[in-house]
Amino acid sequence: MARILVVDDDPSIRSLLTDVLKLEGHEVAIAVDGLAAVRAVEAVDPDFVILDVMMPGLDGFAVLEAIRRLEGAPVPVLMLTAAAESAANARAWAGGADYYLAKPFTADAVLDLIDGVLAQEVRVGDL
Amino acid sequence: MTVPRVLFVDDEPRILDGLRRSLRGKRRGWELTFAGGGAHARELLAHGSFDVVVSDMRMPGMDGAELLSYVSRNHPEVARVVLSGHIEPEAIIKVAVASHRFLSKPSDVDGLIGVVEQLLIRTSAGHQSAARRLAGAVPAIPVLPQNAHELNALQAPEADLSRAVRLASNDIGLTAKVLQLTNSRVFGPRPRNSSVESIVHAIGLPMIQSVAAAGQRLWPHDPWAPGSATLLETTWRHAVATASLVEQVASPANRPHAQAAALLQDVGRLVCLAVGDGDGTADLDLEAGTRDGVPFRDVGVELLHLWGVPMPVITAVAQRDTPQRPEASGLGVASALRAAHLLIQETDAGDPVAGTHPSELGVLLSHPQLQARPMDWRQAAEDASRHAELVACGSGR
Repeated sequence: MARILVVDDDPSIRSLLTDVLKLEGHEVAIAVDGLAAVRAVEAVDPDFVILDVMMPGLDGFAVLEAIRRLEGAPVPVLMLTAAAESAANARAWAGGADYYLAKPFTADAVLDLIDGVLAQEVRVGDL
Repeated sequence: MTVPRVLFVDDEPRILDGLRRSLRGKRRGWELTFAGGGAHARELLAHGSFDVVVSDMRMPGMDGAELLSYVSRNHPEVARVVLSGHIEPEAIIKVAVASHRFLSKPSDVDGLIGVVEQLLIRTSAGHQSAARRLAGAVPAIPVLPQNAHELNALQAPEADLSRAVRLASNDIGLTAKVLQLTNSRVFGPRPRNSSVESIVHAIGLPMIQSVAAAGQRLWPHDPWAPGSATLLETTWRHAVATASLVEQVASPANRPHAQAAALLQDVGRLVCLAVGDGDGTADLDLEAGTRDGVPFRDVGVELLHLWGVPMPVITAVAQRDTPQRPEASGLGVASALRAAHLLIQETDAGDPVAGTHPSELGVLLSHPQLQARPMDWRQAAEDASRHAELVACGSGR
Protein backbone atom coordinates (compact mmCIF):
# COMPACT_ATOMS: atom_id res chain seq x y z
CA MET A 1 0.00 0.00 0.00
CA ALA A 2 1.04 3.57 -0.51
CA ARG A 3 2.18 6.51 1.60
CA ILE A 4 -0.12 9.44 0.96
CA LEU A 5 0.36 13.01 2.13
CA VAL A 6 -2.83 14.99 2.72
CA VAL A 7 -2.40 18.78 2.78
CA ASP A 8 -5.42 20.83 3.83
CA ASP A 9 -6.09 23.49 6.43
CA ASP A 10 -9.71 22.31 6.77
CA PRO A 11 -9.90 19.64 9.51
CA SER A 12 -13.10 18.11 8.13
CA ILE A 13 -11.53 17.46 4.72
CA ARG A 14 -8.40 16.11 6.39
CA SER A 15 -10.30 13.65 8.50
CA LEU A 16 -12.59 12.56 5.64
CA LEU A 17 -9.60 11.83 3.39
CA THR A 18 -7.61 10.20 6.20
CA ASP A 19 -10.50 7.88 7.01
CA VAL A 20 -11.17 6.66 3.49
CA LEU A 21 -7.49 6.31 2.63
CA LYS A 22 -6.76 4.31 5.80
CA LEU A 23 -9.76 2.10 5.07
CA GLU A 24 -8.12 1.27 1.73
CA GLY A 25 -4.98 0.29 3.61
CA HIS A 26 -2.90 3.37 2.79
CA GLU A 27 -0.53 5.03 5.20
CA VAL A 28 -1.52 8.69 5.66
CA ALA A 29 0.63 11.67 6.60
CA ILE A 30 -0.94 15.05 7.34
CA ALA A 31 0.19 18.61 6.80
CA VAL A 32 -2.01 21.48 7.98
CA ASP A 33 -0.33 24.28 6.04
CA GLY A 34 1.94 24.92 3.09
CA LEU A 35 5.21 25.13 4.95
CA ALA A 36 4.56 21.87 6.77
CA ALA A 37 3.62 20.31 3.41
CA VAL A 38 6.93 21.16 1.76
CA ARG A 39 8.82 19.78 4.77
CA ALA A 40 6.66 16.65 4.81
CA VAL A 41 7.29 15.87 1.13
CA GLU A 42 11.01 15.74 1.86
CA ALA A 43 10.69 13.95 5.20
CA VAL A 44 7.97 11.41 4.35
CA ASP A 45 8.79 10.82 0.65
CA PRO A 46 5.12 10.16 -0.16
CA ASP A 47 3.90 8.12 -3.15
CA PHE A 48 1.05 10.57 -3.75
CA VAL A 49 0.16 14.09 -2.54
CA ILE A 50 -3.36 15.49 -2.15
CA LEU A 51 -2.92 19.26 -2.06
CA ASP A 52 -5.50 21.91 -1.24
CA VAL A 53 -5.08 25.18 -3.12
CA MET A 54 -6.58 27.65 -0.66
CA MET A 55 -4.50 27.79 2.50
CA PRO A 56 -3.35 30.69 4.63
CA GLY A 57 0.35 31.50 4.29
CA LEU A 58 2.01 29.39 1.62
CA ASP A 59 -0.87 28.34 -0.70
CA GLY A 60 -1.15 25.18 -2.77
CA PHE A 61 0.36 26.75 -5.88
CA ALA A 62 3.46 27.77 -3.95
CA VAL A 63 3.72 24.31 -2.42
CA LEU A 64 3.42 22.73 -5.87
CA GLU A 65 6.17 24.98 -7.17
CA ALA A 66 8.44 23.96 -4.28
CA ILE A 67 7.67 20.25 -4.72
CA ARG A 68 8.45 20.41 -8.44
CA ARG A 69 11.85 21.91 -7.70
CA LEU A 70 12.86 18.85 -5.65
CA GLU A 71 15.30 16.37 -7.14
CA GLY A 72 14.37 12.81 -7.97
CA ALA A 73 11.31 11.22 -9.53
CA PRO A 74 8.40 13.71 -9.37
CA VAL A 75 5.68 12.72 -6.91
CA PRO A 76 2.12 12.57 -8.31
CA VAL A 77 0.09 15.55 -7.10
CA LEU A 78 -3.71 15.87 -6.99
CA MET A 79 -4.87 19.46 -6.44
CA LEU A 80 -8.16 20.36 -4.76
CA THR A 81 -9.93 23.70 -5.07
CA ALA A 82 -12.91 25.13 -3.28
CA ALA A 83 -14.92 26.00 -6.37
CA ALA A 84 -14.94 24.93 -9.98
CA GLU A 85 -12.91 27.99 -10.75
CA SER A 86 -11.31 27.81 -14.16
CA ALA A 87 -8.49 30.21 -13.27
CA ALA A 88 -7.35 27.98 -10.40
CA ASN A 89 -7.72 24.97 -12.65
CA ALA A 90 -5.49 26.46 -15.34
CA ARG A 91 -2.96 27.58 -12.76
CA ALA A 92 -2.78 24.09 -11.28
CA TRP A 93 -2.12 22.53 -14.69
CA ALA A 94 0.44 25.16 -15.63
CA GLY A 95 2.19 24.65 -12.29
CA GLY A 96 2.67 20.95 -12.91
CA ALA A 97 -0.26 19.26 -11.17
CA ASP A 98 -0.95 15.72 -12.37
CA TYR A 99 -4.62 15.66 -11.38
CA TYR A 100 -7.22 18.20 -10.38
CA LEU A 101 -10.56 17.97 -8.57
CA ALA A 102 -12.95 20.75 -7.60
CA LYS A 103 -14.71 20.60 -4.23
CA PRO A 104 -17.15 19.15 -3.48
CA PHE A 105 -15.54 15.90 -4.62
CA THR A 106 -16.47 12.35 -3.76
CA ALA A 107 -14.15 10.02 -1.87
CA ASP A 108 -14.56 7.56 -4.74
CA ALA A 109 -13.18 10.06 -7.25
CA VAL A 110 -10.05 10.46 -5.13
CA LEU A 111 -9.65 6.72 -4.55
CA ASP A 112 -10.11 5.93 -8.25
CA LEU A 113 -7.40 8.40 -9.20
CA ILE A 114 -4.95 7.07 -6.64
CA ASP A 115 -5.71 3.52 -7.65
CA GLY A 116 -5.04 4.23 -11.32
CA VAL A 117 -1.78 6.03 -10.57
CA LEU A 118 -0.33 3.60 -8.06
CA ALA A 119 -1.49 0.25 -9.48
CA GLN A 120 1.67 -1.63 -10.39
CA GLU A 121 0.29 -4.91 -11.55
CA VAL A 122 -2.20 -6.02 -14.14
CA ARG A 123 -5.52 -7.14 -12.69
CA VAL A 124 -8.14 -9.29 -14.36
CA GLY A 125 -10.43 -7.17 -16.49
CA ASP A 126 -8.19 -4.09 -16.38
CA LEU A 127 -7.15 -4.06 -19.99
CA MET B 1 -11.65 -23.19 -15.67
CA THR B 2 -8.65 -25.48 -15.55
CA VAL B 3 -6.54 -25.60 -12.41
CA PRO B 4 -3.34 -23.54 -12.77
CA ARG B 5 -0.21 -25.68 -12.64
CA VAL B 6 3.00 -24.39 -11.12
CA LEU B 7 6.35 -26.17 -11.18
CA PHE B 8 9.01 -25.42 -8.55
CA VAL B 9 12.62 -26.43 -9.18
CA ASP B 10 15.34 -26.45 -6.52
CA ASP B 11 18.16 -28.84 -5.73
CA GLU B 12 17.77 -28.32 -1.98
CA PRO B 13 15.02 -30.56 -0.57
CA ARG B 14 14.80 -28.25 2.43
CA ILE B 15 13.74 -25.33 0.19
CA LEU B 16 11.19 -27.42 -1.70
CA ASP B 17 9.75 -28.69 1.60
CA GLY B 18 9.51 -25.14 2.86
CA LEU B 19 7.69 -24.05 -0.30
CA ARG B 20 5.35 -27.03 -0.14
CA ARG B 21 4.49 -26.27 3.48
CA SER B 22 4.02 -22.54 3.14
CA LEU B 23 2.00 -22.79 -0.06
CA ARG B 24 -0.25 -25.61 1.09
CA GLY B 25 -2.44 -23.51 3.34
CA LYS B 26 -2.42 -20.50 1.06
CA ARG B 27 -3.14 -21.98 -2.31
CA ARG B 28 -5.87 -24.51 -2.70
CA GLY B 29 -6.50 -23.45 -6.28
CA TRP B 30 -3.12 -24.40 -7.73
CA GLU B 31 -1.68 -27.75 -8.64
CA LEU B 32 1.87 -27.69 -7.31
CA THR B 33 4.68 -29.88 -8.63
CA PHE B 34 8.21 -30.03 -7.27
CA ALA B 35 11.38 -31.04 -9.07
CA GLY B 36 14.80 -31.56 -7.49
CA GLY B 37 16.76 -30.49 -10.56
CA GLY B 38 16.77 -29.37 -14.18
CA ALA B 39 16.65 -32.84 -15.71
CA HIS B 40 13.64 -33.85 -13.64
CA ALA B 41 11.95 -30.54 -14.49
CA ARG B 42 12.46 -31.13 -18.23
CA GLU B 43 10.88 -34.52 -17.92
CA LEU B 44 7.87 -33.14 -16.09
CA LEU B 45 7.47 -30.34 -18.65
CA ALA B 46 7.54 -32.84 -21.49
CA HIS B 47 4.66 -34.79 -20.01
CA GLY B 48 2.36 -32.13 -18.68
CA SER B 49 1.37 -28.56 -19.37
CA PHE B 50 2.39 -25.97 -16.82
CA ASP B 51 1.47 -22.31 -16.50
CA VAL B 52 4.46 -21.10 -14.48
CA VAL B 53 7.87 -22.48 -13.59
CA VAL B 54 9.74 -21.10 -10.57
CA SER B 55 13.39 -22.12 -10.50
CA ASP B 56 16.49 -21.66 -8.38
CA MET B 57 19.56 -20.37 -10.23
CA ARG B 58 22.46 -22.28 -8.73
CA MET B 59 21.94 -26.00 -9.14
CA PRO B 60 24.41 -28.78 -9.95
CA GLY B 61 24.17 -30.17 -13.46
CA MET B 62 21.76 -28.04 -15.40
CA ASP B 63 21.59 -24.64 -13.66
CA GLY B 64 18.56 -22.38 -13.53
CA ALA B 65 19.57 -20.20 -16.46
CA GLU B 66 20.11 -23.26 -18.64
CA LEU B 67 16.82 -24.82 -17.59
CA LEU B 68 14.83 -21.62 -18.17
CA SER B 69 16.47 -21.04 -21.56
CA TYR B 70 15.43 -24.55 -22.46
CA VAL B 71 11.88 -23.77 -21.29
CA SER B 72 11.79 -20.57 -23.33
CA ARG B 73 12.73 -22.47 -26.50
CA ASN B 74 10.63 -25.57 -25.98
CA HIS B 75 7.74 -24.40 -23.80
CA PRO B 76 7.41 -20.66 -24.48
CA GLU B 77 3.86 -20.68 -23.09
CA VAL B 78 5.21 -21.36 -19.59
CA ALA B 79 5.97 -18.16 -17.63
CA ARG B 80 9.43 -18.22 -16.04
CA VAL B 81 10.41 -16.98 -12.58
CA VAL B 82 13.83 -17.09 -10.96
CA LEU B 83 13.77 -17.56 -7.19
CA SER B 84 17.34 -17.17 -6.11
CA GLY B 85 19.69 -16.02 -3.40
CA HIS B 86 22.20 -13.26 -4.00
CA ILE B 87 23.00 -12.87 -7.67
CA GLU B 88 26.43 -11.68 -8.80
CA PRO B 89 26.33 -8.75 -11.22
CA GLU B 90 27.71 -11.02 -13.99
CA ALA B 91 24.80 -13.40 -13.52
CA ILE B 92 22.13 -10.69 -13.67
CA ILE B 93 22.25 -10.74 -17.46
CA LYS B 94 21.73 -14.49 -17.52
CA VAL B 95 18.69 -14.04 -15.29
CA ALA B 96 17.43 -11.16 -17.39
CA VAL B 97 17.30 -13.16 -20.59
CA ALA B 98 16.24 -16.52 -19.17
CA SER B 99 13.39 -15.45 -16.89
CA HIS B 100 10.41 -13.12 -17.00
CA ARG B 101 10.45 -12.25 -13.30
CA PHE B 102 12.97 -12.41 -10.52
CA LEU B 103 12.48 -13.02 -6.79
CA SER B 104 15.27 -13.08 -4.26
CA LYS B 105 15.56 -15.67 -1.51
CA PRO B 106 14.47 -15.56 1.20
CA SER B 107 11.25 -14.34 -0.36
CA ASP B 108 8.07 -13.98 1.65
CA VAL B 109 5.41 -16.39 0.49
CA ASP B 110 2.92 -13.61 -0.22
CA GLY B 111 5.37 -12.00 -2.62
CA LEU B 112 5.86 -15.31 -4.40
CA ILE B 113 2.11 -15.97 -4.58
CA GLY B 114 1.59 -12.43 -5.88
CA VAL B 115 4.04 -12.91 -8.74
CA VAL B 116 2.67 -16.32 -9.70
CA GLU B 117 -0.90 -14.99 -9.61
CA GLN B 118 0.20 -12.13 -11.85
CA LEU B 119 1.65 -14.53 -14.36
CA LEU B 120 -1.52 -16.64 -14.38
CA ILE B 121 -3.31 -13.62 -15.89
CA ARG B 122 -3.24 -13.54 -19.68
CA THR B 123 -3.82 -10.04 -21.02
CA SER B 124 -5.06 -10.85 -24.52
CA ALA B 125 -8.84 -11.02 -24.64
CA GLY B 126 -9.11 -13.12 -27.78
CA HIS B 127 -5.81 -14.96 -28.02
CA GLN B 128 -4.77 -15.80 -24.49
CA SER B 129 -2.50 -18.76 -25.02
CA ALA B 130 -1.26 -17.81 -28.50
CA ALA B 131 -0.22 -14.34 -27.32
CA ARG B 132 1.44 -15.88 -24.24
CA ARG B 133 3.34 -18.34 -26.44
CA LEU B 134 4.60 -15.67 -28.86
CA ALA B 135 5.55 -13.21 -26.10
CA GLY B 136 6.93 -15.86 -23.77
CA ALA B 137 9.55 -16.99 -26.27
CA VAL B 138 11.17 -13.55 -26.46
CA PRO B 139 14.39 -13.29 -24.37
CA ALA B 140 15.16 -9.76 -25.52
CA ILE B 141 13.99 -7.41 -28.24
CA PRO B 142 16.30 -7.52 -31.24
CA VAL B 143 18.26 -4.43 -32.14
CA LEU B 144 16.79 -2.34 -34.90
CA PRO B 145 19.10 -1.97 -37.89
CA GLN B 146 18.84 1.82 -37.43
CA ASN B 147 20.29 1.59 -33.93
CA ALA B 148 22.92 -1.12 -34.40
CA HIS B 149 25.72 1.37 -35.01
CA GLU B 150 24.94 3.27 -31.79
CA LEU B 151 24.79 0.05 -29.81
CA ASN B 152 28.21 -0.97 -31.11
CA ALA B 153 29.58 2.44 -30.18
CA LEU B 154 28.31 1.91 -26.64
CA GLN B 155 30.80 -0.94 -26.25
CA ALA B 156 33.76 1.24 -27.29
CA PRO B 157 36.33 2.22 -24.64
CA GLU B 158 35.46 5.91 -24.96
CA ALA B 159 31.73 5.30 -24.36
CA ASP B 160 30.33 7.24 -21.42
CA LEU B 161 27.19 7.40 -19.34
CA SER B 162 25.65 10.26 -21.30
CA ARG B 163 25.88 8.20 -24.50
CA ALA B 164 24.24 5.30 -22.66
CA VAL B 165 21.41 7.54 -21.47
CA ARG B 166 20.85 8.93 -24.97
CA LEU B 167 20.89 5.48 -26.48
CA ALA B 168 18.66 3.82 -23.89
CA SER B 169 16.10 6.62 -24.12
CA ASN B 170 15.81 6.04 -27.87
CA ASP B 171 16.15 2.27 -27.98
CA ILE B 172 13.02 0.18 -27.65
CA GLY B 173 14.77 -3.02 -26.60
CA LEU B 174 17.01 -1.38 -23.99
CA THR B 175 14.12 0.57 -22.51
CA ALA B 176 12.06 -2.59 -22.16
CA LYS B 177 14.91 -4.61 -20.63
CA VAL B 178 15.89 -1.89 -18.18
CA LEU B 179 12.27 -1.55 -17.01
CA GLN B 180 12.00 -5.32 -16.64
CA LEU B 181 15.11 -5.51 -14.48
CA THR B 182 14.32 -2.54 -12.26
CA ASN B 183 10.73 -3.58 -11.68
CA SER B 184 11.83 -7.08 -10.76
CA ARG B 185 13.92 -5.35 -8.05
CA VAL B 186 17.13 -6.81 -9.46
CA PHE B 187 18.86 -3.55 -8.52
CA GLY B 188 17.07 -3.00 -5.20
CA PRO B 189 13.67 -1.63 -4.26
CA ARG B 190 11.15 -1.07 -6.99
CA PRO B 191 11.31 2.54 -8.16
CA ARG B 192 8.12 4.60 -8.14
CA ASN B 193 8.07 6.24 -11.53
CA SER B 194 11.68 6.59 -12.57
CA SER B 195 12.61 7.66 -16.04
CA VAL B 196 14.82 5.43 -18.15
CA GLU B 197 17.40 8.19 -17.87
CA SER B 198 17.51 8.05 -14.07
CA ILE B 199 17.54 4.25 -14.08
CA VAL B 200 20.54 4.23 -16.42
CA HIS B 201 22.31 6.68 -14.11
CA ALA B 202 21.52 4.47 -11.13
CA ILE B 203 22.68 1.15 -12.59
CA GLY B 204 25.78 2.52 -14.30
CA LEU B 205 27.59 2.11 -17.59
CA PRO B 206 28.99 -1.45 -17.26
CA MET B 207 25.55 -2.89 -16.51
CA ILE B 208 23.96 -1.06 -19.46
CA GLN B 209 26.77 -2.26 -21.70
CA SER B 210 26.15 -5.87 -20.62
CA VAL B 211 22.39 -5.56 -21.12
CA ALA B 212 22.91 -4.11 -24.59
CA ALA B 213 25.48 -6.73 -25.55
CA ALA B 214 23.23 -9.56 -24.39
CA GLY B 215 20.40 -8.17 -26.53
CA GLN B 216 22.68 -8.23 -29.58
CA ARG B 217 24.05 -11.71 -28.90
CA LEU B 218 20.65 -13.33 -28.59
CA TRP B 219 19.52 -12.70 -32.11
CA PRO B 220 21.11 -13.53 -35.44
CA HIS B 221 22.51 -10.63 -37.44
CA ASP B 222 19.33 -9.90 -39.36
CA PRO B 223 16.36 -11.53 -37.65
CA TRP B 224 13.70 -9.50 -39.43
CA ALA B 225 11.01 -10.87 -41.66
CA PRO B 226 11.57 -10.25 -45.38
CA GLY B 227 9.97 -7.03 -46.58
CA SER B 228 9.74 -5.45 -43.14
CA ALA B 229 12.58 -2.91 -43.45
CA THR B 230 10.34 0.10 -44.19
CA LEU B 231 7.89 -0.81 -41.46
CA LEU B 232 10.73 -1.12 -38.93
CA GLU B 233 12.07 2.28 -39.89
CA THR B 234 8.59 3.85 -39.60
CA THR B 235 7.91 2.14 -36.30
CA TRP B 236 11.09 3.39 -34.71
CA ARG B 237 10.80 6.94 -35.98
CA HIS B 238 7.19 7.10 -34.80
CA ALA B 239 8.16 5.79 -31.37
CA VAL B 240 11.04 8.24 -30.92
CA ALA B 241 8.96 11.20 -32.14
CA THR B 242 6.03 10.32 -29.85
CA ALA B 243 8.35 9.86 -26.86
CA SER B 244 9.89 13.27 -27.52
CA LEU B 245 6.48 14.96 -27.80
CA VAL B 246 4.80 13.19 -24.90
CA GLU B 247 7.47 14.59 -22.62
CA GLN B 248 5.70 17.92 -23.10
CA VAL B 249 2.14 16.56 -23.15
CA ALA B 250 2.25 14.46 -19.97
CA SER B 251 2.21 15.95 -16.46
CA PRO B 252 5.46 15.77 -14.45
CA ALA B 253 4.77 12.60 -12.48
CA ASN B 254 3.24 10.83 -15.48
CA ARG B 255 6.07 11.81 -17.80
CA PRO B 256 8.44 8.85 -17.17
CA HIS B 257 5.72 6.27 -17.77
CA ALA B 258 4.34 8.17 -20.76
CA GLN B 259 7.78 8.31 -22.39
CA ALA B 260 8.35 4.61 -21.82
CA ALA B 261 4.89 3.82 -23.21
CA ALA B 262 5.58 5.96 -26.29
CA LEU B 263 8.81 4.15 -27.01
CA LEU B 264 7.19 0.75 -26.38
CA GLN B 265 3.87 1.47 -28.12
CA ASP B 266 4.64 -0.92 -31.00
CA VAL B 267 6.94 -3.33 -29.22
CA GLY B 268 4.57 -6.12 -30.23
CA ARG B 269 5.14 -5.34 -33.89
CA LEU B 270 8.93 -5.57 -33.44
CA VAL B 271 8.68 -8.84 -31.56
CA CYS B 272 6.42 -10.33 -34.23
CA LEU B 273 8.57 -9.13 -37.13
CA ALA B 274 11.63 -10.74 -35.57
CA VAL B 275 11.39 -14.23 -36.94
CA GLY B 276 14.95 -15.30 -36.07
CA ASP B 277 16.69 -17.36 -38.71
CA GLY B 278 13.54 -17.35 -40.76
CA ASP B 279 12.64 -20.99 -40.64
CA GLY B 280 9.39 -20.05 -42.31
CA THR B 281 7.13 -21.13 -39.47
CA ALA B 282 5.90 -17.62 -38.60
CA ASP B 283 2.61 -16.79 -40.26
CA LEU B 284 2.95 -13.03 -40.66
CA ASP B 285 0.27 -10.73 -42.05
CA LEU B 286 1.78 -7.25 -42.26
CA GLU B 287 -1.43 -5.76 -43.63
CA ALA B 288 -3.60 -7.03 -40.78
CA GLY B 289 -0.80 -6.63 -38.25
CA THR B 290 -0.97 -10.20 -37.00
CA ARG B 291 1.34 -13.14 -36.43
CA ASP B 292 -0.25 -16.57 -36.30
CA GLY B 293 -3.54 -14.67 -36.28
CA VAL B 294 -2.67 -12.76 -33.09
CA PRO B 295 -2.65 -8.94 -33.31
CA PHE B 296 0.85 -7.47 -32.82
CA ARG B 297 -0.54 -5.25 -30.04
CA ASP B 298 -1.78 -8.26 -28.04
CA VAL B 299 1.69 -9.81 -28.23
CA GLY B 300 3.33 -6.57 -27.12
CA VAL B 301 1.01 -6.06 -24.17
CA GLU B 302 1.48 -9.66 -23.07
CA LEU B 303 5.25 -9.24 -23.30
CA LEU B 304 5.22 -6.09 -21.15
CA HIS B 305 2.99 -7.87 -18.64
CA LEU B 306 5.28 -10.93 -18.50
CA TRP B 307 8.25 -8.62 -17.98
CA GLY B 308 6.52 -6.83 -15.10
CA VAL B 309 6.63 -3.37 -16.69
CA PRO B 310 4.62 -0.85 -14.59
CA MET B 311 0.88 -1.02 -15.06
CA PRO B 312 0.36 2.57 -16.32
CA VAL B 313 2.80 1.82 -19.17
CA ILE B 314 1.01 -1.41 -20.10
CA THR B 315 -2.42 0.22 -20.00
CA ALA B 316 -1.28 3.07 -22.23
CA VAL B 317 0.25 0.67 -24.78
CA ALA B 318 -2.88 -1.51 -24.70
CA GLN B 319 -5.09 1.54 -25.33
CA ARG B 320 -2.89 3.25 -27.93
CA ASP B 321 -5.50 2.66 -30.63
CA THR B 322 -8.55 3.10 -28.38
CA PRO B 323 -10.29 6.49 -28.60
CA GLN B 324 -9.79 8.26 -25.27
CA ARG B 325 -12.28 10.40 -23.37
CA PRO B 326 -10.23 11.68 -20.46
CA GLU B 327 -11.93 13.04 -17.33
CA ALA B 328 -11.48 16.71 -16.50
CA SER B 329 -9.39 15.54 -13.53
CA GLY B 330 -6.42 14.80 -15.77
CA LEU B 331 -5.10 13.10 -18.91
CA GLY B 332 -3.14 10.41 -17.13
CA VAL B 333 -0.61 8.32 -19.05
CA ALA B 334 -2.93 6.66 -21.57
CA SER B 335 -4.60 9.83 -22.86
CA ALA B 336 -1.27 11.68 -22.93
CA LEU B 337 0.17 8.92 -25.11
CA ARG B 338 -2.89 8.88 -27.35
CA ALA B 339 -2.76 12.69 -27.78
CA ALA B 340 0.95 12.63 -28.62
CA HIS B 341 0.47 9.69 -30.98
CA LEU B 342 -2.38 11.42 -32.84
CA LEU B 343 -0.36 14.65 -33.11
CA ILE B 344 2.61 12.75 -34.53
CA GLN B 345 0.26 11.01 -36.96
CA GLU B 346 -0.15 14.36 -38.73
CA THR B 347 3.62 14.68 -39.30
CA ASP B 348 6.23 12.88 -41.41
CA ALA B 349 6.77 10.52 -38.46
CA GLY B 350 3.20 9.29 -38.71
CA ASP B 351 2.57 5.57 -38.83
CA PRO B 352 0.60 4.85 -42.02
CA VAL B 353 -0.99 1.78 -40.45
CA ALA B 354 -2.67 3.76 -37.66
CA GLY B 355 -4.26 6.63 -39.63
CA THR B 356 -5.31 10.07 -38.36
CA HIS B 357 -8.24 11.02 -36.11
CA PRO B 358 -8.59 14.80 -36.31
CA SER B 359 -11.85 15.15 -34.39
CA GLU B 360 -10.69 13.02 -31.45
CA LEU B 361 -7.40 14.92 -31.45
CA GLY B 362 -9.35 18.20 -31.33
CA VAL B 363 -11.20 17.04 -28.22
CA LEU B 364 -7.98 15.91 -26.55
CA LEU B 365 -6.25 19.21 -27.31
CA SER B 366 -9.16 21.12 -25.78
CA HIS B 367 -8.61 19.35 -22.44
CA PRO B 368 -7.95 21.94 -19.71
CA GLN B 369 -4.62 20.29 -18.90
CA LEU B 370 -3.33 21.06 -22.40
CA GLN B 371 -5.23 24.33 -22.81
CA ALA B 372 -3.47 25.70 -19.73
CA ARG B 373 -0.10 25.53 -21.45
CA PRO B 374 0.89 28.22 -23.96
CA MET B 375 1.92 25.68 -26.58
CA ASP B 376 1.39 25.28 -30.29
CA TRP B 377 0.95 21.52 -30.13
CA ARG B 378 1.07 20.98 -33.87
CA GLN B 379 4.32 22.90 -34.09
CA ALA B 380 5.68 20.85 -31.18
CA ALA B 381 4.71 17.69 -33.07
CA GLU B 382 6.58 18.89 -36.18
CA ASP B 383 9.63 19.58 -34.02
CA ALA B 384 9.42 16.12 -32.44
CA SER B 385 9.12 14.53 -35.86
CA ARG B 386 12.24 16.36 -37.03
CA HIS B 387 14.04 15.37 -33.83
CA ALA B 388 13.25 11.72 -34.55
CA GLU B 389 14.57 12.08 -38.08
CA LEU B 390 17.83 13.51 -36.72
CA VAL B 391 18.13 10.68 -34.21
CA ALA B 392 17.65 8.21 -37.05
CA CYS B 393 20.26 9.94 -39.24
CA GLY B 394 22.72 10.36 -36.37
CA SER B 395 22.74 6.70 -35.54
CA GLY B 396 22.32 5.23 -39.01
CA ARG B 397 25.84 6.08 -40.11
